Amino acid sequence: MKSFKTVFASAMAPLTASVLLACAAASANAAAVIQIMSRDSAGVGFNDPTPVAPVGGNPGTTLGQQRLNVYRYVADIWQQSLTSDIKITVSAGWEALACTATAATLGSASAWNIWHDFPGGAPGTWYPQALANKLSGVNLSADIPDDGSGYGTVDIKTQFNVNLGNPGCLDGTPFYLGLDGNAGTKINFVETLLHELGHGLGFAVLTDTSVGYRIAPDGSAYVASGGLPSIWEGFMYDNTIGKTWLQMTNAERKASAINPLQLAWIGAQAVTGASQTLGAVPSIKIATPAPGYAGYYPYGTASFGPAVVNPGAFGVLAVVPADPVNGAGCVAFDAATTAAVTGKVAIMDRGSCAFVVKAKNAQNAGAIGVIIANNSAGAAPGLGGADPAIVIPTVSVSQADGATLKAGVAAAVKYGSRSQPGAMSATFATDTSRRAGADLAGRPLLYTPNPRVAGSSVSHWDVSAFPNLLMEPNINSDLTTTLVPPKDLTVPLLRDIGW
Amino acid sequence: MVRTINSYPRAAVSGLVLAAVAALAVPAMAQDAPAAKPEQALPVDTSAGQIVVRDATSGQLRPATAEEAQALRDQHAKGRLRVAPQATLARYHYSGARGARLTDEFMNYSVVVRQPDGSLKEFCFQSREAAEAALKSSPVVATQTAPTE
Repeated sequence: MKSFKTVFASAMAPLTASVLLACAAASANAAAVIQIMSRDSAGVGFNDPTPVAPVGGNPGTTLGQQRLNVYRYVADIWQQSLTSDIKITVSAGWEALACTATAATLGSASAWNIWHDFPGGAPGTWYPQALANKLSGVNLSADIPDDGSGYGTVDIKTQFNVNLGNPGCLDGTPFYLGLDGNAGTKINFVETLLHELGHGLGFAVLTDTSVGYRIAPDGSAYVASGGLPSIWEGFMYDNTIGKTWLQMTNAERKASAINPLQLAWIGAQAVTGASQTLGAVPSIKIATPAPGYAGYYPYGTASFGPAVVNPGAFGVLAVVPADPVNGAGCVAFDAATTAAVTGKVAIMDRGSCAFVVKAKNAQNAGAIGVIIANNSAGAAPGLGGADPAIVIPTVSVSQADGATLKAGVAAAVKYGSRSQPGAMSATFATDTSRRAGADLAGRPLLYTPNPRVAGSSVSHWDVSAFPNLLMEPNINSDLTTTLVPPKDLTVPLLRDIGW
Repeated sequence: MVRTINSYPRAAVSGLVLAAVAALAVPAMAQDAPAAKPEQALPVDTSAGQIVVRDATSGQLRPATAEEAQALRDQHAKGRLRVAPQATLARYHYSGARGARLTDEFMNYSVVVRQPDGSLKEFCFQSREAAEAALKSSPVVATQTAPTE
């Protein structure tokens, strides 16, 4: 039988109900208190007695103690970032989650209860329970009997993979339970838990992004009509349609969820934070005598070839013609194309063959660099692949920018002389008028790739954000535990919704 | 007061390969299944004669073979488990607030995938289906992260 004992109430002294009430009366800005509640049986998870050596500032000497110490460490980070007079409860368990030898579910988390139409909240709007409790000043689940699970009324439910690193479950790669970020080849549990608790505290849209439906007022299902918006929707502004999600139809929300780089978060805290956090956009800076083409064009980088040096030189652009049969740049260049690209940066469309094939063919023809123009809507993609023989830099641009650059190359010709045709030249620079991961107005962008990435779209920051943010869909290895500007935008977004 | 409400039809039910008119004695979804017993099997009529399929050759409806009936039952059971693994619970507060206890279908999932070069990439998905799909086709996930062509 499972023992639903409280593992650790708080870094602060446990508060009695009377003290909590007194605090509520005295201040609406008390630091939050997060209580971790274990679901683990004896000998399992937090109770695993396996001896281990202290690691990375985690003093635990059993596996269970170290797991608990990380939970407490992460909860303390969140406590210091948020205010609430109502204790935040997190149910935690270590379970056998799905995994293979090369991939694993690390864990999962979410708000476990949600509320609408409580005192202090926006009418007819869904909130996660922890936030609803803060805004209403009471524990809305206080008088609700448990559902038999032992954790039915908690704010957040979490579970993580008890088998990670064992044979058949991402063999040999367990969680790193140190607190210093030096995870090496292991999985940094601190960052993973920070991210997932962020979702549970309110970093989630609570609207079905695949169809645009909202949750019914009784919480039973996503429904086509009559559902209630979440507190997120008023802050989600689509630059294409010129509406917030609050103002959209189901179809419009569905379309907005796959409108790359156009869905901005317009909450004041996050917008201000973006100006302090997000860096200038790395770009190709174009100079040309032809009017209308000079300027900055954001680029994506490649996993092959030399790293781009920014700021730095690139070269004069030359177009590799379309090849409907083989794909542009997919076979050895003919004499005319070779003559055109020798000593220049070859720009060609994506498609039909690997990026490394295109780059290698351009290099063999004498090009000094490559630009690959995307062949579908969206941002300049990252270019994967590997070929150690490639020694020239390769970058990508968006489909729209690629079309402009190719047209610009042709337009520049007439601005030269018969012996020296006009040319379009490129350097690597940063566009200080724009921020990486923000729209033209400087508002941080939500993740809306097209096609939709199942399960990841919308409730994360866009992957174009630089530096990397905690709440991007990819949990990157260079994250810190700072959740506020100038390092991160997680807390500003949460403050926008009421935290 | 807590009451059990309808199951959560978030996950799509996969289409049946057989164009079946099922006369199985089960509802399409476990609308009234209490949350405490989501895994309990509902009664299933085992008579293959009560299941008809559209014959792939003639296009006519005919009784299912034993194999076809079993395949349909298996698929039906899988679909039902995916659709209604647990029901949400309605919440009420004296202030007039209304709420719901959610289910594991609302979870955000962290998944890690070893890349072809041996490195690890960690992803966050907002559905179990997406997380499980990533586990089953990890090369696809790697490709989505950094396309190679």
